[in-house]
Amino acid sequence: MTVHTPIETRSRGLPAWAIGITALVLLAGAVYVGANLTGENPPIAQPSGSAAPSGASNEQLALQIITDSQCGACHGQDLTGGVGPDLHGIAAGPKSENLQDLAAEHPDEWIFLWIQGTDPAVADLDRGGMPAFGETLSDEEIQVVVDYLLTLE
Amino acid sequence: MAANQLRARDPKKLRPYDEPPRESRPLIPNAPDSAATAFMVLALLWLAAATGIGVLWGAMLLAPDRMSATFAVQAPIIGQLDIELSPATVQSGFTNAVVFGWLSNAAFAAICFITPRVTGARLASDAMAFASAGAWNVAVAAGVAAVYMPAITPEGPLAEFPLPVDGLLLLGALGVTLVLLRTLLAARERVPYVSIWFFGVGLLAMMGAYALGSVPPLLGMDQTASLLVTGFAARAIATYWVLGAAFGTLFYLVPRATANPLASGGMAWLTWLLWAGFSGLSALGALVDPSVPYAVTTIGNAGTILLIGPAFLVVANLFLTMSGRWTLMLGAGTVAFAAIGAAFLLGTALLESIGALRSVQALVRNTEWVSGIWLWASLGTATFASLALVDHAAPRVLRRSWRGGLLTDATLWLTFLGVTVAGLSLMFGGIAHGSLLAEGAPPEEVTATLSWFWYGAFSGLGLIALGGLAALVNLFVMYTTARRAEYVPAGSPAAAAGH
Repeated sequence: MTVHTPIETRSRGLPAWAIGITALVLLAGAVYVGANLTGENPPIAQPSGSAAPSGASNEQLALQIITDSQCGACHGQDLTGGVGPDLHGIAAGPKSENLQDLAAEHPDEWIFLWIQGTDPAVADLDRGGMPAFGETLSDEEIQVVVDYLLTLE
Repeated sequence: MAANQLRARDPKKLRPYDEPPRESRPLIPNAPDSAATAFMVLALLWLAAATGIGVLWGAMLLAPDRMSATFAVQAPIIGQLDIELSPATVQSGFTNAVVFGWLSNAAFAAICFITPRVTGARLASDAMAFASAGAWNVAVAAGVAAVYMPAITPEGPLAEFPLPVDGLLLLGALGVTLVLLRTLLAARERVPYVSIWFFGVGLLAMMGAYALGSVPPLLGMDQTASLLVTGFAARAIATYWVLGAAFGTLFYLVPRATANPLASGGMAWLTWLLWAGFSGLSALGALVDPSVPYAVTTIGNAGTILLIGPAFLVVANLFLTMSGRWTLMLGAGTVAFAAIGAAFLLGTALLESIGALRSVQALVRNTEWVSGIWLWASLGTATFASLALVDHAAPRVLRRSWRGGLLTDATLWLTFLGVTVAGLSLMFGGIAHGSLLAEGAPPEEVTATLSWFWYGAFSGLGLIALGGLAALVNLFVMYTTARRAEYVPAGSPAAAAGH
């Protein structure tokens, strides 16, 4: 014989505070969606086991970011140029005409500002299809890429 | 003294016609609760095995190079098998063993134990559920073994099992689903208790998500599409199945163990509605790639943030139900296990919400932060709900008078400490890892700093393994040493107390 002992409930109704908390959570979700509608997702994370090893060098990390961000699609797989300019020897200064003024005003950080693309200093420049990576990469990730680019001869 | 009494006391005096007819025992047991018993025993065996693999993974975090190995084994019929022991394969084995071995068997045990008790109908077919247990566990054992052979396994979280294994696993889940549906059709209850709705939706969603995760190799998808599909499926399995089964189990156990009515039926139904809706949304948050519209991923992240709503309502409802029976939390027992599970649920929901923020994601992407959150969700929330079920149900299905003891204390405290330490170590380790990489710290500094966190994670995983072992030994000791107890008739005070 099956023992049947239904579970009783103290109250069938819904407490007002529960409705209030639900409304509050829904509001938080709506605010989050409203504030995050535009941008670009980063490349999908690899399975956790294949994540960057804890001892990965900055060069490895930079190469991973460059690969994930698909920089090679414009600058060539070996960054020697394609639709976009050759990035070798970039430490000597920009190769594009429209970046000469930026490099003159910000000699130490023009590459960072250009890749980031969200600073007012580059707001009026024609980006010519170059994405603003500040929307998808952190400042620290961009700096790792900049440090790597400066080593290319 | 009568002659027949003398004969009965002296077995030498028995005649063949005095022996009672032998009971015929079917090949597959079909006694009441036999399926629940089978699932529970299998679940605890998997808990011990999975947490053992977890210790190996913890060791691999500390010394990945020294612990990794590749070797070939000659198997009959199949031929040479290349086996790879690496952090990736061991973590995959750990994750799959916890989700499909331990937690899924515990959820099936909960379904087989709870459904007859809240509907009044006997489980439709214990034999069929028993056979499903066989199919499911053979599949999981084969799948967990296969993850160490990357040549024959697909890529993607919770989707690493080879296709034939997927088929057998789905067959097992389908068997349990059919048993549940047939039981509900035969039941007196028109609207079953809310736990059953959590189990039902969780089961169906798990089967759908698992089948979806098996599709990429069939369609020959590229790596990015494959990772997106399997990421979506894994997230759906975590929220619908792992979380849903934990909710359903806790909603049954807390009123039963405290002998109090559930505080609010309306709040329980609101929880179910919010969970069913937001879990699906949350799975969209796994679609992180430039090929997916940014707004879609944002809506998914919002779903993860919104899941804090049902989590809070569950915890509030359960603690209100415990009202007046707080002393039950002081000893290691069903209520204490359930309360710890509820606490982990709230902590996990809060941390998941924080982790869904874009800025946090940018910092902790590709670090062990995600593993820490997963550990709290699976080995914290869901595991403590399942341990509460074992504490409540095992004496009933095994018909033993058992009030726990040192082994129950050991299970509770070792697992609690282990999950807390390992989870926090992995989460803080993930944050430190992300920060160090962002600062461009040299590799030696990164390795040296993170090793402190991985020591913590390894210790925590070791404690969890000891807790899992204690739970298994507890069940064995209960079965072999405890006094036998019989069922109580329906309607009696003892039945109302939870049998």
